[in-house]
Amino acid sequence: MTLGGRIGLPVVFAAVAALSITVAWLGLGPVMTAGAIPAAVLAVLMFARLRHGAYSAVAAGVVCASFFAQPGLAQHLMLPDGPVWLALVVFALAASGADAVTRPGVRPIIALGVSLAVVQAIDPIGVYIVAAIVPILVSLPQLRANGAQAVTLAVLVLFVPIVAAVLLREAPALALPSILTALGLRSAAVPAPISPFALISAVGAAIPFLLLPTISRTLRTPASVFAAMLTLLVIAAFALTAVLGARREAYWLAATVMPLAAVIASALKPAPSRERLVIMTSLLSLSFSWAAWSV
Amino acid sequence: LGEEFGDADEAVWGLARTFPQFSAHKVITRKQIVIFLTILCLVLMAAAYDPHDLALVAAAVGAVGFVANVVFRSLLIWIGAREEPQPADAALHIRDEDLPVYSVLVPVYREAHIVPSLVAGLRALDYPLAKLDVKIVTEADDAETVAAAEMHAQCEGFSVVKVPPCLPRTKPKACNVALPLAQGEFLVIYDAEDRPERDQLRKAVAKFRAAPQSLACLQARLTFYNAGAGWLAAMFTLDYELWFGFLLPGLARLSVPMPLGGTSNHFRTNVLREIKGWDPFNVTEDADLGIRLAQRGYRVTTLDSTTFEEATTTFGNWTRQRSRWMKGYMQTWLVHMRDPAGLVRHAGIGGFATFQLFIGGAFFAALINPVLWLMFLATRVFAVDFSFDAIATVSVIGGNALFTYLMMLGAIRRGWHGLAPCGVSAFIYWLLISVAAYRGLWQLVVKPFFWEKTTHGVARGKAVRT
Repeated sequence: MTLGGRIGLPVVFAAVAALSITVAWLGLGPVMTAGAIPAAVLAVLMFARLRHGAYSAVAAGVVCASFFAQPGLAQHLMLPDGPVWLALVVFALAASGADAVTRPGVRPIIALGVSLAVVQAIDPIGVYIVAAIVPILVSLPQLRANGAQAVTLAVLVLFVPIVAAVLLREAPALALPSILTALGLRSAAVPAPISPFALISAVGAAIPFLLLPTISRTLRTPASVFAAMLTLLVIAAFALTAVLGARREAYWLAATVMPLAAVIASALKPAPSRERLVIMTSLLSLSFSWAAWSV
Repeated sequence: LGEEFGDADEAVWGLARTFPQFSAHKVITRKQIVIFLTILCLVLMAAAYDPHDLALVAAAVGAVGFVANVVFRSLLIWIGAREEPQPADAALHIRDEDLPVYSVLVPVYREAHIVPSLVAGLRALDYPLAKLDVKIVTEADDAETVAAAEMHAQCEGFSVVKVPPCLPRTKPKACNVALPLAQGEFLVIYDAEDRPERDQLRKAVAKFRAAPQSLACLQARLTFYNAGAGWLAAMFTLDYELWFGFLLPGLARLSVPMPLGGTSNHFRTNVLREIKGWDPFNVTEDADLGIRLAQRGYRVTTLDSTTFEEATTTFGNWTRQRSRWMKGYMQTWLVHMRDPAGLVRHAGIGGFATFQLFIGGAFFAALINPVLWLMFLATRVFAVDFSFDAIATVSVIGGNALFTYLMMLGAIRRGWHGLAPCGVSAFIYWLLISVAAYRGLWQLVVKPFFWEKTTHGVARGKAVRT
């Protein structure tokens, strides 16, 4: 069981949010940035997820380290108004979605719905993710085979983000971005438009992981396919929002997409070659990012 | 066939004599009346001084209570939904000779035609007949049911207990009459139409034996076998799935007081006798008993075994049953709030808070829900400015949506996916619960001990009333 599963993801999130808000509120930024806490939690959740997927501590450590060693990523994740919250929520979305696909229990379904509602509230890509998540879920073979289960899952997954959207529309004071901005956890300044190069760099770094469930039939599981499709969806949503004029720092895409590699890897079928393959993929991804960065 | 007569006086007054503070015979104490009147006076004074601000504060308090109830239930569902590794099925490995005598109480009233299937169902339990002590408990003046019981229960381990006719004519009183006659180390109560899983008694024995003596009661899961008998049955099933599948397990995991469901409660018989059985004046004697056990330092938890019941399918029948439950919850709240400090002392702060949110919150949310709806509609449709638009919006949209969502989740545990879309209409179901709550409140004032009859047997083509 993952750390999130043991303690309860909402409890983890609430604690992280409370601690970060306190740090931001008390102005402890120079000592410990508010972004450092969720970044540390993200690292722990990624590690725990991989360990739950029966990876050795070394392999899990390599995957996590290769994420944080991406050029410039760690320092940007530490920023209070950086991409760490989005990364954390998208990771939770992928993890709960993968769990829901594997075993559609109440907890993963609630976590998936809540993650969708939060991602929709904090970032423009959320709307596209919410719109596309159900087609992705029902396209998976085991849900396609059970119509009633697919309908139930679709209704339950979409219910929370839809109600959240209605609530935000009817009671705008509840809007999360404005609360985050007021607390200094989200910058009110308009960043530069995302560069095509940053897009290519992040996508390039993600591709090795996307290929794992795609090319290897022996490793493929519905959950790993879901996580890979979600990764593609996040990239597409970023591209779409960029085309439509959204502006953000270049690191946002990589920071949001790369943690999903841990979800893809953890969902792969256990096989003798899996661990070695995942370590190699992590190193390949890291090499690609640094090569792209140097260029 | 055994035939036994119980002691009606002890059954009716035993609890009130020994533990008067826990008897619902007195609906409300003088101290509680003084407190309520004081609050009422303060409210009237505030209304005279500034009615607008009073309305605002009242709306805020109502909305907070309403949302707190739903949010607490959500947390319980999250906790109750945690999957834990199941221990090896010890129930199957207990040898027959090692099993204790198990008493089974089945109160039956004006249900003569259910008796044959009841007896057949109990005989089908995976438990040696020689170690079963089944007592069909019926009112002595219900000649038809007595005759049916005497005719069909002519086998080893079965007996008929006749309850001397006296008031109050309630199920708990009938059970209290049978309690001193029970021979089992453990005791379970079933309703006449119940269909427990065959190995339920064995599972209960295994769980009791693996637990400390402080574990006094196990609550099996209840669900319905006629979930497809219309919208009301579907909603009722989702309601029960949520209650017994997630909420009660959530309470058990938090080790806080748990209100019992009306049937499939397994007890250590000596503990049940020690606390003087059920309260014959409380119309949700089961909920009260769960809290009373906690007050006496005993623990209640859930049993992973299901009893299938029959859902009521008509609005009138459902309202009668639900208004009795709501009235009983109000009775239970009033009884255990006679000494709030005592409740904190025995159940802890967490137990006290749970009692407020789960028992008090159940009828409070049902009573306040239509008020919040009216407020919401008034602010939106009629453009009346009450200055509390946000309160109404968050509580009505958020609270009702959350309740609806939780109801839909009820379909997940057993994979009854076909029921989930019905859950979308849960906000209507909740308004019906509000109707029942107001009816229950009215009855609490005018006839507090009246036992609203629920018609059973409709699913099998015959209607009977229990």
